[in-house]
Amino acid sequence: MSDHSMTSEKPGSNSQYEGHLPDVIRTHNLTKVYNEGAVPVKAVDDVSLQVREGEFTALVGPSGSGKTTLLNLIGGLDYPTEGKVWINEVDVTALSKNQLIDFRLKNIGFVFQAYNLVPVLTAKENIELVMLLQKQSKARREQRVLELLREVGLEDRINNRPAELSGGQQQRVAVARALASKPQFVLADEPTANLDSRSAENLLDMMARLNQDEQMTFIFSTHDQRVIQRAHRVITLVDGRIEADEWKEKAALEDQ
Amino acid sequence: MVASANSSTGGKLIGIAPENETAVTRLKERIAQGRYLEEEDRNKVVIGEKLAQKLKVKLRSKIVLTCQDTAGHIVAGAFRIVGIFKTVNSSIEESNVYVRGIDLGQLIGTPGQYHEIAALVKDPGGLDSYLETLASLYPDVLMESWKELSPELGLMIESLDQYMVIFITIILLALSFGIVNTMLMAVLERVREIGMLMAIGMNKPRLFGMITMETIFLVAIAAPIGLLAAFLTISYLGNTGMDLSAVYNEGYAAYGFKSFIYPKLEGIYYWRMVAMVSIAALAASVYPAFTAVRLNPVKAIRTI
Repeated sequence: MSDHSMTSEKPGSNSQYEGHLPDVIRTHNLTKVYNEGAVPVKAVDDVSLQVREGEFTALVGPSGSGKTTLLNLIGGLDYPTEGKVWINEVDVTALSKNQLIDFRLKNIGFVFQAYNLVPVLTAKENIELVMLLQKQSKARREQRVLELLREVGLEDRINNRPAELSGGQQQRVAVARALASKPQFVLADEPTANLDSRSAENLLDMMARLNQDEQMTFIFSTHDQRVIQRAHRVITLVDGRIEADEWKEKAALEDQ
Repeated sequence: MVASANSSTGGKLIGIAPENETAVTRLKERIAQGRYLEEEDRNKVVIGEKLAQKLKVKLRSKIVLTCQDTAGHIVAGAFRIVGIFKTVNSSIEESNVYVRGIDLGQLIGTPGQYHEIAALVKDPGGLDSYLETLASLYPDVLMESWKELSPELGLMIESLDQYMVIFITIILLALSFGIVNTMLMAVLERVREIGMLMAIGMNKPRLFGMITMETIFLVAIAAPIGLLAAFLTISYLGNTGMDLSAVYNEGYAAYGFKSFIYPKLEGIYYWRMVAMVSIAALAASVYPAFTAVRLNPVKAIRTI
């Protein structure tokens, strides 16, 4: 395990986040190499990492540092070239593609930089998509969608299609979609990159609230200072390796 | 031999019972000038327009018919033209000469005798059983269906059926390519969306099913529109007819077909077409659906 593998080992680690909460995500010597043929590129290089339940963590680093690749590997969207990922003690790197899809459906919510809403579906339909895939009852879906739309402040936009929403509103719908099935983890790839300051702040407020209220674990890949400031833990990646892993003091977070 | 004052030519002399003949042929309907033969006519004749032109005769002209009698003697009789018929079959129009059977019998020495009785069966499918019944009732009479009498026509109809299968296969192949193209476009235009669906948990069987269902919906909308358009076109042209004389006049006439055709399609063919199109569409959806499920969600989401 690398120097950055254990949160408890890090200088500056913060006991109030560690507590007795269990590790829910573990990676071990995770490596992802692209173009394994002619010119191999190590997007993620020997990363070992542990994430505890309820973390609000930012993966930061310059472009090409491997943030998105690491997020994809943690989320089971891609297979590593080497190394392992355990989520809730399940070795996701050993799962087949179909098993991974089912695993993602049950455990992980994704928020993408470009929202990726289905353009022909309304906000409501986009949000209930995951619940439909989970075969939840109509009544349950309706109730949850209304709950989420209220939560993200878009209850008056229920029947609007993505093209009729602003960027911030679309991202809020995307977040609502990610949260619809109450996943244990939310992985967000540069969620605020296309948003103005106000929308970004609203979005972060909402996610911080959900993190606190529902103990959902959030991991962001970002280079947005607004997100970095709000994160409890900031993991810096450079050239695919963990360069720094810092915990913030709770008091400092409360001051923000 | 048929001879006029101006010319002579070979012909086929046919003695008919005028009343009964109308039940099996359309000779009466084909009369273009004059009238059809009547029971009380004596030594009257109906000839085709082309033969009339060849002999340079008109209505009420007299022609001489020369043939052999049953004893092999040459006999001849003068007949007056009461009607000139016109058909699409040029060989019939050029050679057939119709007189009353009674007149012909007297000419060749077989008064009141007929050697052929034609029957028109309304249901073509019942032809064989009809023939069997007749054969059992009249064992001494030779019974032949149109397929035995005119095997080339039977062969032609069978060939047409085979051509039809080939045409339909080509059309269905073209349709399949059209569907593959449309659905492949639908998949490739939505690579990002499909990547997102896979990322959030849509598994491969569901994705495959989604693309297949989209194809089924496409066909479910397009097929009835196509069938309705076909039905309306065929109904309209079935009434007004299609004039192909500009391109195929002589070719069709040589085979005894009209160059003016009235298309007709039985209901069963519409259902067969629906079935064939549905099967072709389902088969055509497989490739686009496979293309969709083989997408890598990470790459798909990054697609611009």
